[in-house]
Amino acid sequence: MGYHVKLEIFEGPFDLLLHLIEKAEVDIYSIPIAQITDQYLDYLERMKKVDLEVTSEFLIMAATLIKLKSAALLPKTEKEDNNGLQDDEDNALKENLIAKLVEYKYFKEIARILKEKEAEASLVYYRPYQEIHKRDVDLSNVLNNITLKQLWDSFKLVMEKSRELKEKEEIKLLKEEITIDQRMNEILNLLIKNKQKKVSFSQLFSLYRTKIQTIITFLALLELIRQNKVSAFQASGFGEIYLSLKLFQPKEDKNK
Amino acid sequence: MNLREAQAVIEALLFVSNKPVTKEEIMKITNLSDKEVNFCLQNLANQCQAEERGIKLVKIAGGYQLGTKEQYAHYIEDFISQPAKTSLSSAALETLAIILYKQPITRAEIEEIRGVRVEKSLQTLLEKGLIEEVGRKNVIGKPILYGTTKDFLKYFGLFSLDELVSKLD
Repeated sequence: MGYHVKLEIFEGPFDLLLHLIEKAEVDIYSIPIAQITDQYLDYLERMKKVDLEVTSEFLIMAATLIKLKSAALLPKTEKEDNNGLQDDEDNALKENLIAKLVEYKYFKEIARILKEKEAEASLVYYRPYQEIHKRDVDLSNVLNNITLKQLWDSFKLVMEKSRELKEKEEIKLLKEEITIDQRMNEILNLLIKNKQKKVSFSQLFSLYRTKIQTIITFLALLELIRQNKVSAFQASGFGEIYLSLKLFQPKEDKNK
Repeated sequence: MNLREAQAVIEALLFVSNKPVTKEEIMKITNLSDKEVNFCLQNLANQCQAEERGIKLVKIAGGYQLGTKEQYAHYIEDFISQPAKTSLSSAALETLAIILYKQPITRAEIEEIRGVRVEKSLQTLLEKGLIEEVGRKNVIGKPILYGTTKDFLKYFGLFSLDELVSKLD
């Protein structure tokens, strides 16, 4: 290993920015934008070096900082109309950023207090210990007026049902064996038998229920269209798609 | 019933309860005044502070409950064969702090404040039962509104939300 990089982890762009401001020992309201921006970008560089994902949130903040930095560096020329507007915009951007930082700092402080409280509270045990009582069911009266016989009958019923369910499941697990070629022939037959030589897309797929059947049908249909045996057309946007038989297939012969 | 006896009754009540008992409940059962109950509770709390006692009176989630003293936590963990309780990540804590003060609040609004996505933290907090869905905001998309649960105070050993506010000032 070439070198060790010690990198603090931050919860997001605000967290990082606050850390830099605190390190610089300046007031949030008078951030030295140029300095903080450089440090911020430097940190993103180091994140990349240790393969930490620099998420888009960090990049958006970087863009904002760079904009503010460039605005601060530009000489204040005599106030022309455009410049004046630009200044206002940058000021609003800065004020917005500061307001967000102040708010974030507030919640970070609350989070810190919660962490302390959590640590204290985790050491106290109550009777009976329940981390979360999700179900507030009163179990004391559940078995009132129920005889042993009734319980036994219910139990038998449940067991029977579960046995039935199991049998059904076994039937469900039978492997469906159908190849795309078989399905292609089925679709062709369906179209040939149809008087109008035309079947709608939804009609075709309503014949098949399971996921695998639907997938195979779709693949078969794509293959038929590719081989120029079937054509698909749609009368209007989002309308029904109709599939019809191409009566002549000279192209396939040419290909051979 | 004299006050010594009243205190014994209160101790017995708290002993069997698996959730905080409010002062109002105690007053109703013992027929004591607010002042008298306060006196008994204070006395009980003081006596529990004695070194030879393993439990203490905890003011929590709007009521009172007997809990074990912090310094004996690891004995209990050994006894019930359970590792120390896990703590929340800072991401989850920040998210929770925002929900606490801004509830009801949507996910997008939390993300605006934290500056990052909060899906995972919300999931954790929901699973832990510290927050819950409290409705839908009447804007486009009708996003879910979140708020803290009753278990929130219990989890952090707090008597009321005011307790947190006063800490901040």
